[in-house]
Amino acid sequence: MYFPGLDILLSILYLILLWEEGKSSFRTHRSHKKQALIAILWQLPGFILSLSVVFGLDRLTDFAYYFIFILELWQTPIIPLVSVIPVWTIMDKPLYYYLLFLMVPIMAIYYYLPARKITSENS
Amino acid sequence: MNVLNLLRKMVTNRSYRMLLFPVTFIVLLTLIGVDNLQLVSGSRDSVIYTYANSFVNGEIGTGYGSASLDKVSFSDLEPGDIVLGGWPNCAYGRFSHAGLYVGDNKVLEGYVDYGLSLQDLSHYMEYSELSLLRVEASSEIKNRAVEYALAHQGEMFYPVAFKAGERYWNCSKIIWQAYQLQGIDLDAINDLWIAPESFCASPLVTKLYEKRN
Repeated sequence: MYFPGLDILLSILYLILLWEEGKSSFRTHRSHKKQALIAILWQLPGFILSLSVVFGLDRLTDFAYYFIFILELWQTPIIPLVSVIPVWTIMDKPLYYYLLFLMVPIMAIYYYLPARKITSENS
Repeated sequence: MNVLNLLRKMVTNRSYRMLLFPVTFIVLLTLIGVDNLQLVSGSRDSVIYTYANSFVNGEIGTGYGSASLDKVSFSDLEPGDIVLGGWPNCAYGRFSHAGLYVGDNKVLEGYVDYGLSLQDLSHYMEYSELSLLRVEASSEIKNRAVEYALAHQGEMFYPVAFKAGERYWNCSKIIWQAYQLQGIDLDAINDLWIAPESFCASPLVTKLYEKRN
């Protein structure tokens, strides 16, 4: 039933829904601080996992490899979009590897952005 | 046009929006389930069954253990052979990792942090479970399989990659796909996913060597 490409469509749909949810959330709370806090809390598992890997805290545990593994699973909704990027290697690692980390703040900002848009439209 | 309007309504209306993904998920899950009924009919070899069973027993992830250096010789390996390694408590069966031997003591493997990449064969010595498999095919076919796999170096690793598609891979899928395209299906039960264990169960391989914990 699964066909390649369906994942990309669902991923785009996810981003559209997320944008709408960001708008809806800001209209409810009317606070930039709250909207930013929601975005950060939403991505908190991603922040913890990525910072643990970047600063080597994962290596203090017996399950170091699981951190990056779980981070990739955490990014599952947008992995289809990451999978279409070119196969480039930077410092011995593929480009998508770096995106696993970068997508955490990017997704948080993406959720916060509708608040900025609504504010600028209203002013 | 009506469909587009309905979609727009579903996206912009919060009550509908909240339901969109759960409903999509359930519909897809049902369709995939119906499409793979052969896995429900008591097949205890399926990846899903193995995962569920391991989960009940508290075995999650790739398993872990301390390196147990083995005196196995890899000198008999030929390009196209499959190397399996495993740790105790692995969630998806006896083996947690698979690699395709490409010659010169190198294996093509998949890791999150390296994607599909060439690694030294020697690290397989550390696994507490080890199996070396030979696919029953001509060296021409095996070379083509190796070429295909090598052409995908650097591509994305994703642990639960479906078998269809060529954008993400796991360590087993690249091997399965490389042989599948040569007309050799190494997944005997036609599963949704492919795990290292599947190669062991294939009637199309012979065991060259096996180490048990």
